[in-house]
Amino acid sequence: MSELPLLRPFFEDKPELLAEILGRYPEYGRRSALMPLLWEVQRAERHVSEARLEEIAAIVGVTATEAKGVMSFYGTYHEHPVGRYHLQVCRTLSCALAGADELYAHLCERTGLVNGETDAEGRFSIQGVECLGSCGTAPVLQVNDAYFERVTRSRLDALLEAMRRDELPEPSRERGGDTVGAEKAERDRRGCRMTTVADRPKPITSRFDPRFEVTLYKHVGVEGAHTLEAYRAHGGYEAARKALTSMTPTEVVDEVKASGLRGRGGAGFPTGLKWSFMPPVDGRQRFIVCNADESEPGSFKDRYLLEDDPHQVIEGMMIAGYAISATIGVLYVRGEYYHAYERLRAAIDEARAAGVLGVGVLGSGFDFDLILHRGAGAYICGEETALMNSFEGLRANPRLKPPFPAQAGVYGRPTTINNVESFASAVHIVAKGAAWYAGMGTDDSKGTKLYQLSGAAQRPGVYEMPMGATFRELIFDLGGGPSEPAKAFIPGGSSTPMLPWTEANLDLPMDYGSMAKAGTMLGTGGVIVIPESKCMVDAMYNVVRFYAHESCGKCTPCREGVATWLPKMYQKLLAGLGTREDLTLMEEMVRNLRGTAFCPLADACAMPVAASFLHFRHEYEHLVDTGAPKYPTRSRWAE
Amino acid sequence: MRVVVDGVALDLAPGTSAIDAVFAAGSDVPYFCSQEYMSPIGACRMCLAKVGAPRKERDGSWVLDEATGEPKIFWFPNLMATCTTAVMDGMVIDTRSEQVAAAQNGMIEFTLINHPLDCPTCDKGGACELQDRAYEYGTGHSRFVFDKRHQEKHHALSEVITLDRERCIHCKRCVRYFEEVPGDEVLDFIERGGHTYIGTLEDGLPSNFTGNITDICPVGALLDATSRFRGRNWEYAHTATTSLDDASGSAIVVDARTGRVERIKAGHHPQVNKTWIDDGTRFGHEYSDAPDRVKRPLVRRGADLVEVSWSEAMAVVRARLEGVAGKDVGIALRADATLEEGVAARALADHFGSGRLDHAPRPAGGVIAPHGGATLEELATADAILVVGDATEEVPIVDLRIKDALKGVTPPPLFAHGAPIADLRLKERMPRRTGILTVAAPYRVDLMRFAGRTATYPAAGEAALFRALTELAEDADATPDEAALGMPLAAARAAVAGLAAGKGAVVVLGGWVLADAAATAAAYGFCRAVGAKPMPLGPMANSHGLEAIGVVPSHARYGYAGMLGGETRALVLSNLDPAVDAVVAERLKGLDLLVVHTAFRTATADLAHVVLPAATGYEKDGTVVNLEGRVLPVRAAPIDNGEATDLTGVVKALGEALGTRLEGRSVRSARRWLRKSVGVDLDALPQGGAMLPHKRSAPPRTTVASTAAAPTGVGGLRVATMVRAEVLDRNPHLLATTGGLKLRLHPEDAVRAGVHAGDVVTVAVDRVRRRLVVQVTEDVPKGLATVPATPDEPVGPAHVDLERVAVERRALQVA
Repeated sequence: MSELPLLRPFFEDKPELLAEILGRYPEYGRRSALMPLLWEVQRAERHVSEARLEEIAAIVGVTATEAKGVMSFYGTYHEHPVGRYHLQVCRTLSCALAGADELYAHLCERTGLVNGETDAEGRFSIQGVECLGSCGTAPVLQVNDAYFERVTRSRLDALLEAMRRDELPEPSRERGGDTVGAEKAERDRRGCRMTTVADRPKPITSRFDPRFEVTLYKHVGVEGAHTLEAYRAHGGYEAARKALTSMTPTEVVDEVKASGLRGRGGAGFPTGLKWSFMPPVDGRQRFIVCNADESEPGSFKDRYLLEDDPHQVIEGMMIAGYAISATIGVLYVRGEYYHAYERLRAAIDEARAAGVLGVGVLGSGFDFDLILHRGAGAYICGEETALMNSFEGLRANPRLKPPFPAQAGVYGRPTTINNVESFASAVHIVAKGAAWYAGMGTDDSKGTKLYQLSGAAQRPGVYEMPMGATFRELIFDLGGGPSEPAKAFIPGGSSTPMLPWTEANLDLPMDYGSMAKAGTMLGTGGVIVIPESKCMVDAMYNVVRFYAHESCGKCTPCREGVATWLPKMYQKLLAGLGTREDLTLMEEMVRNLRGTAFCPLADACAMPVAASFLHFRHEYEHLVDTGAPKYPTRSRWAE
Repeated sequence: MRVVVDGVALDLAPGTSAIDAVFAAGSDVPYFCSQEYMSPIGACRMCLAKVGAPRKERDGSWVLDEATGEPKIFWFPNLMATCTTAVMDGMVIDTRSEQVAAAQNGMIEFTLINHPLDCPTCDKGGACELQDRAYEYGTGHSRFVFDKRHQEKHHALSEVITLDRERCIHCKRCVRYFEEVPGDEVLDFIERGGHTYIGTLEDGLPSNFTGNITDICPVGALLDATSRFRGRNWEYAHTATTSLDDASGSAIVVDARTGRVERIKAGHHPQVNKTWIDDGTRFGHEYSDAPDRVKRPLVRRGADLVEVSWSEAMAVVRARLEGVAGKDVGIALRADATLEEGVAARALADHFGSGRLDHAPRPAGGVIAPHGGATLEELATADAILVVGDATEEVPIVDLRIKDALKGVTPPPLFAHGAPIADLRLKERMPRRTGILTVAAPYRVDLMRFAGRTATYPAAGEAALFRALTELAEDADATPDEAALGMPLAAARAAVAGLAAGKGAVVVLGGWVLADAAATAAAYGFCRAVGAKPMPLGPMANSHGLEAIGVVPSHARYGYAGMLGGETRALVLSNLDPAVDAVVAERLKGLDLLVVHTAFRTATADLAHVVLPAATGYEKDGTVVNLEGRVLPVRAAPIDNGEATDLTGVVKALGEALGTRLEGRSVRSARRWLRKSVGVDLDALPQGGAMLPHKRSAPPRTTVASTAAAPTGVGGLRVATMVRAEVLDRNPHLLATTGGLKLRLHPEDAVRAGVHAGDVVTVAVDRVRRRLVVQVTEDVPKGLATVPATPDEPVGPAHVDLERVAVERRALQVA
């Protein structure tokens, strides 16, 4: 007979670990330790039981109810034990286009498990999850914290076999686009251009302009580039040194303003202007926050920056921190990016040891340090105020604005928040000057930008191009063209309205103004190619399902419309039970979702749906009239 | 600021929310998440309206509309949630356009898709915000053809609150309420998105103010379990009155149906309780329908009490009074008697020419501050507060108003439509100014969780505490005894300095202070020294009023204690129960006449010659004066209480029996007397009450107050409880919630006494044997035991005989 184990408090014999975690946050921010403590318990016990939850709640000084409210908000904390190998298959659009649904069905069949189930031995548990940020290397399987990319059925079988023998192979980190160092160099050398442009206009708007140089991703994909030594070897932290020792904070802000850099998180707000919104220094602690919660389907640029060139991001944060007089940086990285998290943690440790972070950094009089905080699976944390709530150990509902973060951000103190790529760009703006940066791009969109290509493309991946480069250049010249006949593409992540696959649309420059004129948005620059063979209704259901899963539930239209009703309507249509009236109803529902919700998430769901009705209503009509989709709802699946 | 709403121009203060502008203009938008006195969050998206504003040129002039020459209105691209939008000068709000109507309709449709629409069986039906708004703004039919969300429909959040998760529309009022009002975060959203539901891991919602969520829930999700399925809203008679549960004077609404109180809801009194009441006040109504309720007069026939008519009862009184000298008649009433009852008691005493008149409990130090006390509003806006006592249990509303002060937001201005629907100054998770609050008590009290400084001084050490504080107030370098202060000297210095410097500082004097005349005097001395206003917490609903109109003995010896000490031959007792004390019971048996006016068959009633049925606080008309000195109306709800009456009815009957027409024989008559003698016209009392004119001189017949029982040295304390101890057994829901009256002990004392947590024991408290449930807690210091006070066993030091504890029932012990 086995004995019921005596439950000792988890942290009872781990005082150092506890002190380290609590020590990461300022005294007034004790509650921030809630998420990392949950992570510790879950790592050890593969779930967080109610007893552990109560223990953690007491440690951070909240009620168990509050702690439960926070824990249950996130997708990756488990109330019940998951298997030793928790197998998570991303099923969002880019992965679905690459056959993730079929892969998932295969996984269910091979393990004999259904979604959310753990086998009797406690070896396997499986879960279909939403976008893991591996759209360019789809489909992706996440085993515990490790990514296995471009997983075919046969690779999955091999993996399962290995795990049955309790041998977890090294994660297969597949690469594409600019993340493949050698290929990139080769491509650059050859200038493998399929399209032509007559004269080279000024400024630079093409990757193939000889004056263009891959900058942000220069070292991404290069073996060993993530170390401080490697980063310094090619001039790392010199931009920060320049800013900290020879420029005033105002000069840094002005330089970034002059560069024309617009926020790379999707909204495109001018970065320098945002920095200038900070109130005068008044003795309160100020924060610079890096939004590394990249989760918009079709976006995966930040992940490689964080994994392969973490110091570039740290340097950018340091420069921004100096510019706004913030001595603490918060790096909020999404929970699924565990590899990036580990790289960042190592980079921060290295930087601290080398005096690059800490008191009087880089020999200047400026103190700067970072708090690295790991999310736990909630897309809404990409919304800046939701991220702040999450960081503070609260449920990640977006906050009411005003007050804006500059007035009351992290812990109610003046805060500026930017995207990973924006910080990386700032490094080069300071190093090479605003004029260099503004020499690339179009009127309202300057500089170099990381574009992402996924879906039905020959060579999906991240490609760095100057602003104003065309879709054709991305999809054909760099991406090798569509992998099969295409009918549409999503220009900037799944929330941006799709454009039909026309010659004119392919020639559109990818900048903020041109996209607005075309009735869509640049977003994060995550281009997803939708093949002719894919049922558009099913593709949109996939998109809607994502937003339904990620709705925080705070406001009515999003909770009831996005998270409940709209996906049910799609299910009805796809089951062949829809009517023409249902289409009218859906269009009306989408109108009711536009501009009525508390935060942009409902819009993010409604806009692409509206666009699909605008361009592909005939597919919806075919489906409701005949009861069968015009195109298969399942992807082609190549072994 | 000039704002135009649907063509109506208004002039509003900056910071006003657009939704209040809409209501101020007489227009309407629906809303579910906004709630008076709580932060606006913009979650339900019902209050959307089209909003526009003019813009200024760089030179400061308005951008003009070329066609009209008027400032051009730039409309916001999206409809705005008016609850989270502040008005701007020149703002234009449109609530009536088609676009707005379509959006409102769309939001109602969204809100209803997962709502079960089980209105026919829902307690909220007929008084439901969702129902009303769906009728006003919905289309009346649903296009949602799918299964609705199925969730638990009868989830007991606690003994007194039932949650129907299907009905919840996620407005977050309840969740916000707990964080913002009592500060007890015991309820939260669990999960996210379409799976979100409210729940708790804190068993039974540990908070003293849980019931308010049943008032503010806009649907039938959170329901008062004491009244669940007891009636429909349109069947209830709603009587707006004042709670007699404690000295706060909280506004309540008594909902009665077919002659029975079914539930109590909070009323609205902006200066007193806002819209909040404590759970004792809300759920403690079931006693009014207790099985041992006395509904007809009873007279003693041998060993039995038998029901008789009023005239028969009066005949017994008359007969037994023969030969009893008027001065040997004593009259005592409980301190929650109305002013009118007080007048009646006075009239009766005057008739007998007896000075033996008193109300109980009556603290030795009195309950009226000699130079005027603080109002609740002053407390809620104070910049420094010292509490000596357990305000949360004594007068729970004081606890909430202190928490208002911690937010540092002044009370909002009122609109014609009431308190602001969205006060934009209030935020979720506002920082609290805990540094302004110092709480001192002989043991750890709940309010200490919110206090920047806490002190635990020795029991019965209030006088010493105030003397030590006064020393510090007079000389910051003084070094009074830290033990007397119960906190480090530095903390005490900071507290005193804060009170001396703070704007409108308030010192709250709890029952232990008032029970000791010397401590009370020292407390008032300290208040003078730091320039703070005192706020004495009287023990009962009309302690202030009865003291003010002089329902007190003509001599200290003639007080209630004296009456029971064997100096009277006839006694009239209203709602008091002194016979719990065996010694007193023996004495009562020797009286020529014992008239007991009571609602229940108490121990004292069982000794009476005549028992007269008393009306409860829900059943009488009258007036009370709350702890601030605010005169407030008490109104009778239509309740079937047989022939029960308040004391004016008793005096009327007695007068008739004695052949005289006494003043105070009716509410009208009592008010006539009050107008003549005190100069207060209660018939002219405005809706929200009015302050009693403060008299600098002592009221007429207050001469010498009785002194409190001297501390016995053994650490026992009778303490106030939020739920009234004397009727707890007759309030089944509250009994289940609280688990019974508690004997609270330190773990070491529990070991010494041989008792465990949960044991039901009988223990002698002074001369009274009390049946209590043991609670073992380190909140009370070693050597101190606390027991609940009752009107006859008032707050103050007592001897708790831990040497001889009889265990009636052992709690289950886990090895």
